[in-house]
Amino acid sequence: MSTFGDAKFNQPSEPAAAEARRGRWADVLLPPDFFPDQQVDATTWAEAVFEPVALIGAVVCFVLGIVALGLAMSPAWQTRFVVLLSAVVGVEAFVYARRLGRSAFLFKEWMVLLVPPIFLMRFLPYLDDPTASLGRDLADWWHDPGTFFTFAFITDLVVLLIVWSIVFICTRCLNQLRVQEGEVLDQTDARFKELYEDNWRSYDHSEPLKRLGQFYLWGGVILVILAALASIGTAQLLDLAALSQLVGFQRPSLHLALANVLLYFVLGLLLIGEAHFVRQRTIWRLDHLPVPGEVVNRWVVSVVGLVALAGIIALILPTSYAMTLGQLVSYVAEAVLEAFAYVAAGFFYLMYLISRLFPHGGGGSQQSAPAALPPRLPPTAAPPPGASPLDTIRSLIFWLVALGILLYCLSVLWRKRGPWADHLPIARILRVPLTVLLWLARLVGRVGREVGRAVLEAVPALFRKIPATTPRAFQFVSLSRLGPRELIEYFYLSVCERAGQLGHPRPPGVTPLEYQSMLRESLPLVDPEIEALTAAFVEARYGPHPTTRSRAQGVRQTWQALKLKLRRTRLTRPRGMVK
Amino acid sequence: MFSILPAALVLFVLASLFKISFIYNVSYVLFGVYVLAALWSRRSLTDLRCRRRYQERALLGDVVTVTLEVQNRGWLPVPWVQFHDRLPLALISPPFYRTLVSLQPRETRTFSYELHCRQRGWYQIGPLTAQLGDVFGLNDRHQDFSAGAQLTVYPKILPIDELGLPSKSPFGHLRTRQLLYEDPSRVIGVREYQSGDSLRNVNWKVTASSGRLQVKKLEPAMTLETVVLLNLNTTEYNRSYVYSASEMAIVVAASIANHLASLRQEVGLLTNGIDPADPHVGALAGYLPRKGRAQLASILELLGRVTVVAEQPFLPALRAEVKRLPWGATLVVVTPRETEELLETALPLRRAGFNVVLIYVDYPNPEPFEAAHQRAAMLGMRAHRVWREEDVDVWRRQVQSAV
Repeated sequence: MSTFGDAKFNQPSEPAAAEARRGRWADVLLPPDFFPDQQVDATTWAEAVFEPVALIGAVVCFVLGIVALGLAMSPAWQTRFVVLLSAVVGVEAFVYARRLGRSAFLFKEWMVLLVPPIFLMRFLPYLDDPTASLGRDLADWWHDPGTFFTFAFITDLVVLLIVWSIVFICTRCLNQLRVQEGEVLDQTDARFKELYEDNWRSYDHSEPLKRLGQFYLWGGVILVILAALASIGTAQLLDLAALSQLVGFQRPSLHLALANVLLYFVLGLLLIGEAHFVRQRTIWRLDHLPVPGEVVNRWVVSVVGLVALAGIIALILPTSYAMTLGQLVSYVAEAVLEAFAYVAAGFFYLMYLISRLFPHGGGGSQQSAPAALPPRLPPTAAPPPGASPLDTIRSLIFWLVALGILLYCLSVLWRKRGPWADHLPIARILRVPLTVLLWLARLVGRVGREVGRAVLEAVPALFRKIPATTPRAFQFVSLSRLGPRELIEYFYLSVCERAGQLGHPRPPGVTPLEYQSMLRESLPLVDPEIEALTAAFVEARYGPHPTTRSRAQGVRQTWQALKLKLRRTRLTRPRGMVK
Repeated sequence: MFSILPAALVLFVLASLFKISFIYNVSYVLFGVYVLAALWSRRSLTDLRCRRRYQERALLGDVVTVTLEVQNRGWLPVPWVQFHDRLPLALISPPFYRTLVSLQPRETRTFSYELHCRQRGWYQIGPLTAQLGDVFGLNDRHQDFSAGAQLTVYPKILPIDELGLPSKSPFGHLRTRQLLYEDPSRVIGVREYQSGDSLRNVNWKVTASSGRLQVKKLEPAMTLETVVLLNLNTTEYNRSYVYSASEMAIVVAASIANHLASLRQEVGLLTNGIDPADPHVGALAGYLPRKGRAQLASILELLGRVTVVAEQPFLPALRAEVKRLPWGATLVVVTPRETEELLETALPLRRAGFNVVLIYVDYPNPEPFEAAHQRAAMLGMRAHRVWREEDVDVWRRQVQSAV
């Protein structure tokens, strides 16, 4: 069986004429496969059809991107036959590379296959262009051969060469995914391999898949750049303001769908999925593992389903934002603070209401205090001008997705880092913000715990009786602001306090008169002032008559005399005396 | 495997530069494919459960069927998963079992393969490796299941009808032709009373029915507490025959243990070989004499597992273990050949009351053995030579004729 190029082929053995016809087609479309038990079945036929369609379709989409940019730069460019001839060259390159058993570049073969479409590219415009005259141009080319190579023709030539190269290389990659010549060992070698080196491979089938994937992905990136440049227009591109907008991420949003870009990525993903299956099948064949039919079916369903699901997610996710990241962060922070303030205000207002339900027992002055007002609510966080709540949510999702993508990429890069990265103090640098964040979190936690503890202690205090008043520590009292009654009370209580500091405190439940007799026994020097002071206190505190200021002035002299005596006693107190 | 993340990131940056929403969508598609594929493959591997069922002990020549049960416990299908079970070459060729399946959600599949127990040993089965990935080749994952599974193949057991290994213990269950001791619990018949017979042996029922004085005829009996001492130090074997001779020593030890256990005698085994299940250095591994099938199973398992050792001298370890041996027991020393140190060790044991039997397994020619046999006989010990499986029978016949 003759084959195109120098490919080898394991011919199926069906004798029927239909099978023979199919065999001829198989010569053209099916890749060379050196697996001895190769069966031409529905799966391999689907591959034989799908692979050229997907590959050439993706390349034509790429050419459409080039053409779109070319037209944006030079609207006079004649592109009527570029796409069509690109498809033809793609088919040529696929069929040529499909049956090729070697990867050497043979100029003669390439020239034979490429010259016809190149000539067609040059002469086809004369068929439908009434203004063009082939005879005149032939005369011009005769006199000046350089005029044959116009700029448009050279551009078309470059496009065709690009198409040829891409399809050729990708088809070679697809071929190399299959079983290669020499990979299937004879029985003795196979036995040896099975017994001792079951994971041994003479050929790495992952490399072609990797190459194909890189071609597809970076070709897609180039296509996107071409399409984007074509979309924003070349006139804008040369504008300095447009460039500064571009670099500063400040271009206005552009909503458009590019069918060729979409088709390129969809076809590419499907082709990668199919190529990966072919690679796996090759490995399984070499391992003598039968491939169940259900694997093929589920593989196809999984590839299509995964691409569809990713497409749906891509359509759902937002592609624009009304707020920048800084605006969004400040807005979110304000909103969080606002919510916290509302919660705090509500809590304290509730506490206030509860405390109103349980009035304190003592302290008429507290009762007479004006009622506390509920705390003032904070001002509402204002969204940036021009941003509706929906825009805010959309912006939030967008930035979350963007940050997620960024962090995910960084984490993947970090996980796949090389050994050189181990020497970089990246971990230490990354640990600094983490440490600060942890410190802040701990601080907030500690403050929160203390506040919570204080609240827990404060809440029961609202519901219990106020305990008996304990002697308060010394604090400055303005005597001029006190009334005569309070003044006499103060004189007496201050003497009690001083006596307490000298070791003779007033026990609870002891009346002033009983305390007076106790002091006379323990501190005889308090006589006779203590008697006058106690009498004045009892009259002022419990007597029915109002206390006059002159009476208070008289008691003041008694108090001062008593105070001097007690102070003197304190100064002469021996060491070791109980306080 | 190639990564689509860099390209997707570049597209995202391009989308931010040009502010064309469609490029964002393309970037999202790539990210979506990457993340979904990674999550799917990771989830699939997490939800996979594998279980291996098989008989963990087998006799030589058995065919053990191993059943692999694979279950996808998740709600996502697994497009493909390849299982690779590593197996010992001595039991199966090629030394692995591989299969490829696609699993539906909550589906369970069962596979089976057979192991041919052609050689005694302690074999590791597995680990079973499951390998799967997404359909784009972005992530390949694999995980080991069912690690640490073992199969013990017992050594070959040759039939030995009668060993003829007497003991000095006065009471026991093994018949002997030395009529010194009789076991009152083993009555083999009655006979006429003779002068001197003890009245305790009179069978009164038979006497009453026959009208003549009849006494019980008792079977002579001796205790046979036997310890098989197995030397597997390779430096003491002839280098040319180290494998066959050491394997023969193990077969002899297993045959003796099996024979004595079938006679309900107490039997033990001590060896300086390495037990891979419980590796030790310097001491003898094994079991002191006990009765029962469980003891025999333990001994056969140990003999199935044990491997030869290069730097583990047998006789010093044996001298260290003498204190543990029961007095009067029969010590069957299975060793490659006679050495001066062996006789120097065996003679005190003989004098200490042990019955020492020497079995040599590394004498291809009978002439050197004859000299060794005579030297052992001069010291009051018996020596036997086993070189081939047939020799076990020869040895048995020699024992029978000697007794």
